[in-house]
Amino acid sequence: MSRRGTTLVELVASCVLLGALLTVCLWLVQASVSERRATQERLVALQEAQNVLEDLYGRPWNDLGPDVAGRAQLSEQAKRVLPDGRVEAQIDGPQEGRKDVAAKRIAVSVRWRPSAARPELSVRLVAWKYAQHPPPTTNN
Amino acid sequence: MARPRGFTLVEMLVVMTVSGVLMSLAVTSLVMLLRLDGTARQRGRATDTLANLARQFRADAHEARSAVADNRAFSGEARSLALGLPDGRTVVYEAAAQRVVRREERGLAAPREDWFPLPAACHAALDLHPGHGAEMAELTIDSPAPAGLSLRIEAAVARDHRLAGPREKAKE
Repeated sequence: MSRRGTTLVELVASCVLLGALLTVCLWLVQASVSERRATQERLVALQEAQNVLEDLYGRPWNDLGPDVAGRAQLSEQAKRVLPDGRVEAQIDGPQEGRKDVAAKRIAVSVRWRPSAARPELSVRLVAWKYAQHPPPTTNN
Repeated sequence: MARPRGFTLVEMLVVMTVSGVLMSLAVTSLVMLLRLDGTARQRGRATDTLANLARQFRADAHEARSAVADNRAFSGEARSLALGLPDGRTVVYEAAAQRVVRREERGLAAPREDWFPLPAACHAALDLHPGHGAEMAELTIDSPAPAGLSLRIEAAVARDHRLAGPREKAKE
């Protein structure tokens, strides 16, 4: 004889369904949260790379070399935001045998690891600095 | 003898308890989801604002011919930074509570103000310091929270003019 009402099986099934839905929702929100966090880390890394690049770029031509590049380091602010973060600067050139344009290439990359399970991320900026401006055409 | 139709008290109690537990579970997780989403949204907006602020700050510093930091705070931190741009414009950055304000003045025209709201409890500071070869304008944003936002924007003052060729210099 069948009686109307909910059986235990139906109850369990509804619980399972609800649980599955909630899990999916939670997972999606979690993904979006970590994505926004990653965006913020990227912003900080990019600004940090730009800071280092501005510092190097503003230096006199003769100072630009591997030793100056080796001294580049992350600011306290960036260290706090970027887990396992570090900055690498590289200065190459000028190219041998090119007398017409003497340029040094400044490359700055900031690397960090969002979490142990995820791959390392990095941003990289490159600029060229030229030895001198065209000779000034002054009247005095 | 046929059983009377209906529920017994015990059945009613069991159903109410179970559905109550389920609903409270659903409501708490929904509230948690909404809260997480809210903070994520806020963080996203803050990131956009800060990216815009950084771009604007660098552009202004590069374009500026002169820069003056005003140390009005007790702590010796500059609360405002005035940048003198070519063609008579002045751009003043102010680190106020919860925001950074950029005010652009051009002659007698009404000044234009842009507000960059900071994330909750964040603190902004402006500074001007001699760098290696170029004066650097600095804007730092710090949050007291351990996992909070922390950002430093450093821009070389007057970079555009040092890089400008003779043609542009002669024009001015």
